[in-house]
Amino acid sequence: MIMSPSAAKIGLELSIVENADLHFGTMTIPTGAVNVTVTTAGLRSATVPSLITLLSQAPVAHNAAYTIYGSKNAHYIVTLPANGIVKITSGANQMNVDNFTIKSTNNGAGNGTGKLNAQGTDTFKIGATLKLANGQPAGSYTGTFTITAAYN
Amino acid sequence: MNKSIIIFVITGMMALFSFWAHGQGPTENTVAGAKIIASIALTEVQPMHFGTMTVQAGQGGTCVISPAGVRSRTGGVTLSNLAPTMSLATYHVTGEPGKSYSITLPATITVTSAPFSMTVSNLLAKPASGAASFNATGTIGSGGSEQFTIGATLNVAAGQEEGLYTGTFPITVTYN
Repeated sequence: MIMSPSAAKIGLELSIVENADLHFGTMTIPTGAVNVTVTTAGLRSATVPSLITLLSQAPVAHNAAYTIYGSKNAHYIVTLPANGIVKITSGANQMNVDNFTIKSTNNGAGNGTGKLNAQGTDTFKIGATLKLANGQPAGSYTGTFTITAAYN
Repeated sequence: MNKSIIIFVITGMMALFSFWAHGQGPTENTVAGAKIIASIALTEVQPMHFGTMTVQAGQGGTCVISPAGVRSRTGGVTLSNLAPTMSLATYHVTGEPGKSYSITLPATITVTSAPFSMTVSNLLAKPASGAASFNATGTIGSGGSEQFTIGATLNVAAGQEEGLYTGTFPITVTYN
């Protein structure tokens, strides 16, 4: 019975709740290979704007957003997908999503580390870069990516 | 009773080990998406032409082509059916089916028969799917295209010099 309080404290494992998914928004068929980036602040841009038109109509672009829960004042680190792993598809067509970026609210260093506050929570945002081929076919592309959090 | 206490202690130790080993934490799967649509493109089907007319020496007037293609006149202008005859400015838009788009027109157009000129004003675009207006909005049809017409008013001065007056004007279509 003496172990009981100690065990309860250790049992506060990290958990992540997704508040928003990641979307690159609506754009035209590119006339050359081009990358479209959504930042952790939700800002969207193309590496070569003359090759593609980024449209403001729905579905609109936004960064992914999360809340993380765990032990009070604990440090954590989020592992993002490596390049070449995440693909989004529309039928037989696909695109790579690379260069994931992260920014935590309590630690803006952008390296995936963060610190839970006195209530044991924090939020963080994720952006990434979409790689479009020349003439990438029209379609609604979707896919998933996996992130992992751990105490640091 | 003793047995259950032992199991509890072991569980606690496992959790402790996990904590100090910085074990793998939770994973979260997130949806990523993007939508690519066909670029919007514009092709002229037939140009704007007001046809042939005369004007009085002492009174100017106008020649109006409605977005429906009806030609009418005001003031000192008399319409003629001689060639070249009128044509209703008509355009073909292609793009993503069901998408809304806007048509941008110039406020005025200048047509010239050097060194003389006239002004075309009151341009009105009429998409097949929408109402006629200066800044009209249309919707690309399920087949990926739509047509729109442009009506306008030619302002003819009293005693305007005879000649074949020509000019060009820009039209832009953009997705909304």
